[in-house]
Amino acid sequence: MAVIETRDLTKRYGDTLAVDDLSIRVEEGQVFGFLGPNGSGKTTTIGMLLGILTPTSGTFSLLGGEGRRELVEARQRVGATLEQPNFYPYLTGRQNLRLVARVKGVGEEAVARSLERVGLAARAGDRFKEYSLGMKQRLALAGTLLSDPELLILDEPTNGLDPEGMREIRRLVRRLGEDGTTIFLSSHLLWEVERVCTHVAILREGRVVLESAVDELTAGAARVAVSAPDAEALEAGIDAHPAARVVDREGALLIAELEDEDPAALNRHLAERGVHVSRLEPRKKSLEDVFHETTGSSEEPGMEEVA
Amino acid sequence: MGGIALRNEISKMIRRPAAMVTVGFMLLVAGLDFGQSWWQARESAEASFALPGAWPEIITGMAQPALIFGSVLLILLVASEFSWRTARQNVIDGLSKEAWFRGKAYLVVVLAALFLLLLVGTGGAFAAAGTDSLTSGALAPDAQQLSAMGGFLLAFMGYGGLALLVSVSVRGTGASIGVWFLYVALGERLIRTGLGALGGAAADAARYLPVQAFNSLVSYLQHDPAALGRAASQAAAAGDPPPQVWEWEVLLPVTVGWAALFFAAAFVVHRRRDL
Ligand SMILES: Nc1ncnc2c1ncn2[C@@H]1O[C@H](COP(=O)(O)OP(=O)(O)OP(=O)(O)O)[C@@H](O)[C@H]1O
Ligand SMILES: [Mg+2]
Repeated sequence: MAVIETRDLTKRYGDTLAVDDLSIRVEEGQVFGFLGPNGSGKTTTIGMLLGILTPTSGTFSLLGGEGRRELVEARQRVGATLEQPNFYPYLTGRQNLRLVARVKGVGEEAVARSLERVGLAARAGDRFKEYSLGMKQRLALAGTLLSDPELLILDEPTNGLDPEGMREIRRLVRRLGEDGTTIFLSSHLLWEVERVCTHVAILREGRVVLESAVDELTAGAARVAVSAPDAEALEAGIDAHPAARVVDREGALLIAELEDEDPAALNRHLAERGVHVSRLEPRKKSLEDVFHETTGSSEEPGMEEVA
Repeated sequence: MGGIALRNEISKMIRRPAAMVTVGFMLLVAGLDFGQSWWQARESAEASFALPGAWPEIITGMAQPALIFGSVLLILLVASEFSWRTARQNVIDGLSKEAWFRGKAYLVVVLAALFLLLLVGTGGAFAAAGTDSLTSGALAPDAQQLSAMGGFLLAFMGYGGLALLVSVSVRGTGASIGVWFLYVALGERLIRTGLGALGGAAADAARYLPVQAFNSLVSYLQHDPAALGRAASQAAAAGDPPPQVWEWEVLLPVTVGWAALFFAAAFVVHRRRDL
């Protein structure tokens, strides 16, 4: 079953086409990364799924529901965050969660368990306005986990967290994913998506430029990192090989892509030409490589964090 | 879902410092006014502030401030949800936009009852202190007083409906209070003057503007024909024009209509706009 399916979903703000004919499909059990630079339409898309923004055109279904009433019902089974965490500043973390718990139809135990799970139990009695950004993010996450949702929609959940906090969120997402929760996670961090997601859609100016399983993307042609005392001879040697080409450079290391996935053959070929390799190691293609190949740019604005 | 939304509204309100300050102010203002009446009755033989004679003053004497404080409180409770983006979060958490609105609409009813209770409570306490023998007959309000209470509740729905409409349209707390106040204090008077200057049907229509009609609901003379008669003869003796009241067959549909229109418009605006 498609947990999320959008068909030509479009949102226009005046002259800005924030989301442009977006069609994606998220299946049950996937951890789906929704990747795109700032302003590419991630939040707008999620806002439409959650019913806070009205699409200009196009349709979508959520947990199989499509009509107004069905969507309201489906959203009860979804846990979601959107942009910054929004809570009542004068209420404590726990009081805020109790309000959410009532809407989701769960009890006090769920509130306590959720606070425990995001590591906020000790500060649950403090007012929301006194929380740090990271604590606010954790509270938002606690809210999404209250009712053990079938689908978790997280809009840049690690925004504002320290490295340890980011790691915790990734661990939590991976664990929930393994337990079978479908997760739709937006991010502008390539490596974050690569580490936790099984599937990915890359968004650019409101359009999907690529949608695939992460495995399939990073599979394909093999890459090797090679270095030799004579760098020029090495490059010439690689270029002379029928199935290899230099695709990147990391200092003295040349990154070569092999069509036949046989590093030993490349080594033999170089040795025959008198190029003695001092280092040769296989490399997995990263999502970053794919991203740059797909979008045809190495300087994607708003994507500096990937470096 | 509307019931859950209302429970949440009440939880949010009773912990909200600004709400407590507003209610506190209302109590203070009503307490000062009713306290003064009680004091005057104690000091002078002519004045009286005792039950049941004090009921009209208790219900309608401070109704205007109650309508204003109540509307301001309502704007605080609705408009802040947009600046905090909690209206958005509530929907993300699974409350539909419609259920969210129902929660706020029920809140208007709750506030109407609360403010009536505040008036009856403070006024009643002072009047009881000034009453020599508190019999059940003195405590029980009669038909005219019940009618005045109903009038207050309906007027509150009208004022509250307008406050709700302004809040979901303007969205900022300060700006909403400003817009609401401008209309209530000034805007409607300007419109009335403008319509009056046009003459004919427009001048007739000026009679039916909302705030003016709501205010008539909390005029005691509107509810008590005997009191109206006394006021009319006093006016005649003094050579003044007789006091004007509405026909109920006109006032009721006009005020119910305005209140319903404000709620409906607020609902439509809220439903159509992105959060
Ligand atoms: N309320 C709005 N009014 C006008 N334009 C808007 C509005 N909200 C978003 N946009 C525009 O829509 C586009 C997509 O914005 P969106 O917030 O969906 O991007 P995003 O992918 O979530 O970016 P980020 O990574 O910065 O969060 C942007 O060009 C933005 O300026
Ligand atoms: Mg965003």
